[in-house]
This record gives sequence, C-alpha cells and structure tokens, in this order.
Amino acid sequence: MKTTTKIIIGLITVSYLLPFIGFEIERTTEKVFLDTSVRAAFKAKEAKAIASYAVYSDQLNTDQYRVMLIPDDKVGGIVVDYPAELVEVSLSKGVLQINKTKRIAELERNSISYYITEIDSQKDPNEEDSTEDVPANVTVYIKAPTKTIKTLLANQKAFYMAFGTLDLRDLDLETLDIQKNISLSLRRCTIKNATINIGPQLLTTYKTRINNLTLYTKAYSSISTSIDEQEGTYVNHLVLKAASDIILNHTAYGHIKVEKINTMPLSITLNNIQENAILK
Amino acid sequence: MIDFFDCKRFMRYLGKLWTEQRRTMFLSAAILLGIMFIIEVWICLTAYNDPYGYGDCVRTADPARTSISFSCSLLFVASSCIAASRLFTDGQQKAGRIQVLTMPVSMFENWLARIVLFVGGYVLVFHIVFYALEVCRVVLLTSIYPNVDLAVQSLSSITSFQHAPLMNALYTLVWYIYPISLFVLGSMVFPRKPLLGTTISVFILGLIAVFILAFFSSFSEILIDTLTLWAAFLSMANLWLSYRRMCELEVIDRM
Repeated sequence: MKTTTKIIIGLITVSYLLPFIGFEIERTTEKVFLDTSVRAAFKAKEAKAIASYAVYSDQLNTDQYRVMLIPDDKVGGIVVDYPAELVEVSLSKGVLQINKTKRIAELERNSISYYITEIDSQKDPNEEDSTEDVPANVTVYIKAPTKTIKTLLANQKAFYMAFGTLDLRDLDLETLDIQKNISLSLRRCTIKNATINIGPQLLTTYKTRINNLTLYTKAYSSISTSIDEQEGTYVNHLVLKAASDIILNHTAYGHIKVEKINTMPLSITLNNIQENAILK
Repeated sequence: MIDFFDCKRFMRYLGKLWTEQRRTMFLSAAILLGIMFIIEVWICLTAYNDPYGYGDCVRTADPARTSISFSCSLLFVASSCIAASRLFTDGQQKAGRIQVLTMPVSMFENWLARIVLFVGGYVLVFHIVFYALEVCRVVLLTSIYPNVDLAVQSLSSITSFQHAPLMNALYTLVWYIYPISLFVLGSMVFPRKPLLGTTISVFILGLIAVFILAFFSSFSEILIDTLTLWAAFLSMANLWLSYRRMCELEVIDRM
C-alpha cells in the first residue's frame, strides 16, 4: 500500500471521530443564559413617544417578543416593567426607548450564542431540561393612564416597534389606526372604527368588539397577513383591502366586504359558518 | 537531478499545458456562460413576476437574491469539481503517464502548473462570467424595478455570517476549497476515471458522515467551527497528498 493511501485512510478515520470531539468541546463550554424572570422597573412622568428597537428575530418568533400597553389610571405617569437581562429602558428627549442590553450587544459583537430562558428557582439546577430548545417569551409591560395610551396610539409617529407583537388590552377607542409591520394583539377592546395595515403579520383578537374594521392583507415571500379570532371576537363590518389570501372565522363577522387591491386572483376562506349566509 | 522549482521552466511548462488545453477550456467557458445565462434568465422570470409586490412605494429587498446566490454557488462547486477532476487527464493512459514522468520539469512544477490551470484558471473564468452576468442583470432591471434594492450578488452571500464579513469570507473560502481539493486528490488517486471514482467515493463517505451527524440533533456554532477548521486542514492536506501521490506515480507493466 502506498504511503499516501495510508495517510488518506487515517484522515478519513479521524474525520469521522471529529464530530464527537466537537460535541464534547461544546458540552464543556460555558453557556450564556439570559433569564426573563429577572425584572426591573422604569418610571417616567410622561413620554411623547415609545420606540422599541430591540430585534430578536434570530432567537424568538414574532409572538414571543411582546410590548404590552396596559391602561392603568392609578399610576401617576408611565411605569415600564421589563426583563432586565434582555432589554434596557431609557427616556431620551421625551421618547421612551426599549433597546437590547449592552451585554447582549457585546455577546453579538463577539458572535457568542445566548439562550433566552426563564429559570425556575423551584427546579433542581442539575436537572437536564430543554431550555435551549424552546426560548422563553420576552414581555415588556407598559402601564400608563388610558389618556396617555390613547394619545400615543392616535399618532402614527408616536409608537414604533422594530420587531415583535404589540399587545393592546382593556381599551375603549373611537378610532384605531395601525400602519406598522408588526403583529398586533387586541384583548378585551371595544373599537368603533379600526384601520389595520400590519403587512404580512398576525392580528389576534380576544373578547374584542369592533364596529368597522378595515384590514389590509399582504403577502411577502411565503408569509401573508393572517387573523386569529379568538373567543368573544365580533366585528360588525369588515372591509378587506385584500392583496393576499386569508382565512376568516365566519361567526366573528356581521358583514364582510372584499376590495381587491392587486390584479392577482385571491382566495378568502370562510370557516365555521353556523347560519345562512349569502356569499355573492 | 532537476531543481525543485525554477520559475522560467515552470512558466514554459504552463505555456505548453495551456496550448494543449486551450481549445477545451474555451469550450468549457462557453458552456458555463450558456448555463449561467439560462439560470439567471429563469430566476429573473420566476422572481420578478409579482406586479403588486414592487408596485407600491415601499422599497423591497431583491427577491432573486437568495435563488441566484444559491444556484450559482452550487454551480460553482459542481463545475469547479469537474474542472479539478480533469487535472490529470493526460495521465489516464500508460503512454501519457510515461510522458509525464519523462517531462524535464520537477514534479512540483508539473503539479503546480496543473493546479494553476485547472483550478485557479477555472475559478477565475467562473468569477468573470458570474459577475459580468450579474452586472448586466442589475443594469437592465434597475430601470424596470426602481423600488427593488437590486445589487450584484456574490458567491459568499449564501452563508449565515453576514454580520461578520471577514468570518463570512473565511467560511465560504474553506467550504468552497474543500470539495475542490477532494476532486484534485481524486484525480490523482483514480487517474483512469477521476470524476466517476471520486464522485462515488465522496458519495459513500458523505453518506456515512450524514449517518454520524444525524446523532447530533442541532448543529451548534462550536461544532460548525470545529468542522470548518478541520475542513480547512483537510483542504491543505488534500492538496499536499495530491502532490505526494504525483511523486509516487509509477508505470507498472502488467504481464
């Protein structure tokens, strides 16, 4: 056998053993876990605008990073309750800013992986679990007087989110106009006129009543606008400004009108029809 | 005894090889241009067919970006491997091997000239053809889709380390060189049927590797780093082994 043949066989053998060595190195390397249960609070008297610049698209799904606006007339100002290891909150020129922490920025700069997790103090720390596989949800709670929230929502430029889901709850609004590329969740809201253009994202409604809803649907790559009408949702008049297919829960709507805004043929699927319906 | 390396002699031998292979290489370049032109036209026809997506005033990312990077990277690896397996075509027959052995150049010069011509030369031609077609695509489509961020793509756009350009370039380089080096070595180990012999060997070895890697549920960064480092080492080892194999070349007269 030629010398080169012997070397080739040796290299092939070592190559097959390598993944095991790499795996062992990984097992002994320290992992960075960021705990969502470590919370901090930030208080501000007032804010002209709120901007969430934190983007966790590599670690989290859109619905796992939420900014929740909670109306609370008892708090004298704005109180932000946030996971201190994930984000930091500051007030600059009247704008309440939510950014990734400096530590995360440093980890990302050095290409070090980190895992977003919720550490359960009751659990045995030596116990093997799957915290790396399923990241924990990151939620920022913003409590503010109802008037402040309404003022912020009334101005398109007063609220910005680079990534995630905007969670609105317990609101009674005359108009709601959301034109942003973010997921939106409405819980226990009553809205007279709503115009929602959230790009190819998800609109979730729970115990929410809307008199007139104008919803824009759009598709980008393989994702498109979708709506999840959960328990207690009712929309009296729905106008779909449709540029992509959508599935609707028939019982959640009084009247549905479709206005096509592009030339491509569309599919509107009606699920759960429980009464007589005129479709054309 | 011939010196290990003499620049003048090397250049003359390179010239000789070029003269012998010129016709085949021009033909290969023309075939490559044709294939890549068809790929670009096909991707453009399928990627830009949504009139709504580019009609509004919002700027959109180039929808053909991923398809072009992916298909051209694949074409680059496949065609470079085919070009690399032609490294020792003149040694397929006994007469050819005798000619290689009796050529008044050192084995290193002989090997290096082949690497320069069949690997380096081909990589250069591929890049010229690829970037020429990409520039044409961008120039032609910019006026048609003013809202689309059209940009000349590169063969390194396929990796996921876009935030670190140096890291990206290194990883891409290693994973492009590694398969090519395998076929360079294969052309020396299987001189009679280099493409077939190497492809079958790589397929069998790859299949075993896939079974082994299937044990690991996730490819963590450290595992990928380790494999990339090893691939870089193997690439160098493959090139050195191909040279060593050429030095071991012998003509056996089987009775």
